[in-house]
Amino acid sequence: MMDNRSIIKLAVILSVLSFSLGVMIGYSIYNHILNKVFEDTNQIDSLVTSAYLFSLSKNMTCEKEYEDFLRYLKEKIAIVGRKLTYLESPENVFYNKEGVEHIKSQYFNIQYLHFIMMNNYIKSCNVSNFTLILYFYNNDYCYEECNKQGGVLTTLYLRHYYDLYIYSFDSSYQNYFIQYYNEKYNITTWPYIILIKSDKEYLFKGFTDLETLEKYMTT
Amino acid sequence: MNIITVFSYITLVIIFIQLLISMYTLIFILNYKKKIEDIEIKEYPRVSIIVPAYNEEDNISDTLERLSELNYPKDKLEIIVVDDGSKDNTYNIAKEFERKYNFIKVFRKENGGKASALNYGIKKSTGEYIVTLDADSYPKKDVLIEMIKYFYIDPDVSIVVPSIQTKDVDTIIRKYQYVDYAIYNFSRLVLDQLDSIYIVPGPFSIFKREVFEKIGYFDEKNITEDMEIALRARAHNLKIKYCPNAIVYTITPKTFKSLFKQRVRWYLGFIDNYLNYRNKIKNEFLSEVALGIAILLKIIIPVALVVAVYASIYNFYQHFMFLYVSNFDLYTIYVKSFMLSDFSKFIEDIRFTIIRQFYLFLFTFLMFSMFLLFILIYRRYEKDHKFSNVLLYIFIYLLFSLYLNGIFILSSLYYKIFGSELRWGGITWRNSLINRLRNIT
Repeated sequence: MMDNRSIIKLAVILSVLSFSLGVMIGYSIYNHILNKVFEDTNQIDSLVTSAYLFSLSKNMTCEKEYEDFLRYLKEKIAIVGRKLTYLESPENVFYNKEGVEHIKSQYFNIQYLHFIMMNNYIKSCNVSNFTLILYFYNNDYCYEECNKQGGVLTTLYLRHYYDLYIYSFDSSYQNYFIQYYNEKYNITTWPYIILIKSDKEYLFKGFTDLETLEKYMTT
Repeated sequence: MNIITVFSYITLVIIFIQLLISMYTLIFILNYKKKIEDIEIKEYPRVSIIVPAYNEEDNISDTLERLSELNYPKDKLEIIVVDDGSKDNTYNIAKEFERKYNFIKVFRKENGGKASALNYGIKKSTGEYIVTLDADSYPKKDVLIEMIKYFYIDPDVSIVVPSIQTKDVDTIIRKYQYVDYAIYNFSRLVLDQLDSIYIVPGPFSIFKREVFEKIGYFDEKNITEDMEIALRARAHNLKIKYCPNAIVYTITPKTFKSLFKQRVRWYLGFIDNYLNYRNKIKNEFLSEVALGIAILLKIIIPVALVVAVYASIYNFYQHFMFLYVSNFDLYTIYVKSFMLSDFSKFIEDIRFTIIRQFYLFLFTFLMFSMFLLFILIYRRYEKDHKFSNVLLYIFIYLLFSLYLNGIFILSSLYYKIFGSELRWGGITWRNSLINRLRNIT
């Protein structure tokens, strides 16, 4: 039989080992997800880029298949968005700032490319039922308000799943097009929404409720 | 740093502490080998069982009936019932037993609290060994003989305490306490090995008479006199042993209100007694490890409760805000979002949730397995309940323990700081910090 001191020593050693193992597993899982999201982002990036290049090289095709393909890309991008939300969530003790920021930057580029393709498709094919929303947030300045706005946009997206495309961007990022929009629209307060419907732009500064956005979508 | 991030780090610390305590207990149990020592007592000593009773008309008959059935020579047994000024029929019921059995004596005194009734009974008693027994508890038939042996196996032993189990498990609160008492018994097994038992519970603890001659009687102003006398005995280097085979049943509080009252008294008593005796105990395992862990648990449980409540409120608030800004469009949020998710997306989401919460699942599984293992070992001593029922009690315990214990500890701390006056039985407690400050000024 072991004496009490030996039991305490063994318990401390085993606890430290198993706790360290748990932390290492948690860290590995986080990095595994980070790498997986990174791979997914790369995969979607090449899909979107190739689709974009293809749309530049040919006259715009207005077939149903192309529209379905754009919707398919939208869903793929949304999955990356959901995973990114986890990777940067505050309860995550393994938060890898550099890795997440890299993926986020790439994610914004993909979204923007998709936005350009959608915009071209709407204009070239004269489609009037689609609404595009560019949503700018900045968690350093509007955490609660932007959270609420995110809730409004999620509901809006679910209500108008087939004819609404939402692209969200963090204004604090140094991506060229984000800075371009910041300057062009003088975005200094958040949330900031640019709603594009039937070739017209509507701007919303600060929190905007569901009815207001829906009203502009349906006019 | 975000408050949620801070809470995440606190959770990690709590996980480590819980892991350490569980790991220690597990190694201890796996390493534990019960010493099989037996002794034949040629001439049994005279034993006095003191039963303090206050408004116990519902329980006193059962308790005295069970005591009369104890396997112990009746000419060596003395049962003293001290009616502590009951307002009900306790005294008359006990008197009937006095007429029926010549080894039962019944006394009546003014209400002064359990400790004063115990002291009154001890002074009236003639036994070499004194047993204290709450009127709402009763022992198994062989308990007295089993426990008395400990004094003969090791003559240095001054006090022997039994294993206490709950009598009824009819309400959720009592089912919860079944596991709670199992944990207490487990901890006594561990503390016994560390020679660090610091509570001699009311139900059927046995004292050598000389203990009272050496250290005095029960403290009549103390709200947890069973802990106070144990620590006083420890301060005098007296030996306390635990007899896991001696099973004593006790009636536990039936409602949350009565449990709350009991536990606040226990925790307040713990704080008072710890502050009083922390520097008087020479046994370093008791003063540093056993009491250290008890204090640590009384700190991390409320912290864990605050974290859990904050996280729940935060999540609820976030979800409520989402519903609010969505004009409570429940159809779109729940039904339509489900319809729009195809099966592969649904599976992907589940898979992702499991992966991202993996270490929490793993930890929960690990803790639950350890808990189950403890209960399985505990069942060596307790076989009254079906295993399926025990699993249900464990589930109830795991569901409520953090919240109940957290509430009890936080309430005790509140009373310790701001409480003006609390009453239990015949005792009035005024030992709060605010009262001390008032007295100083």
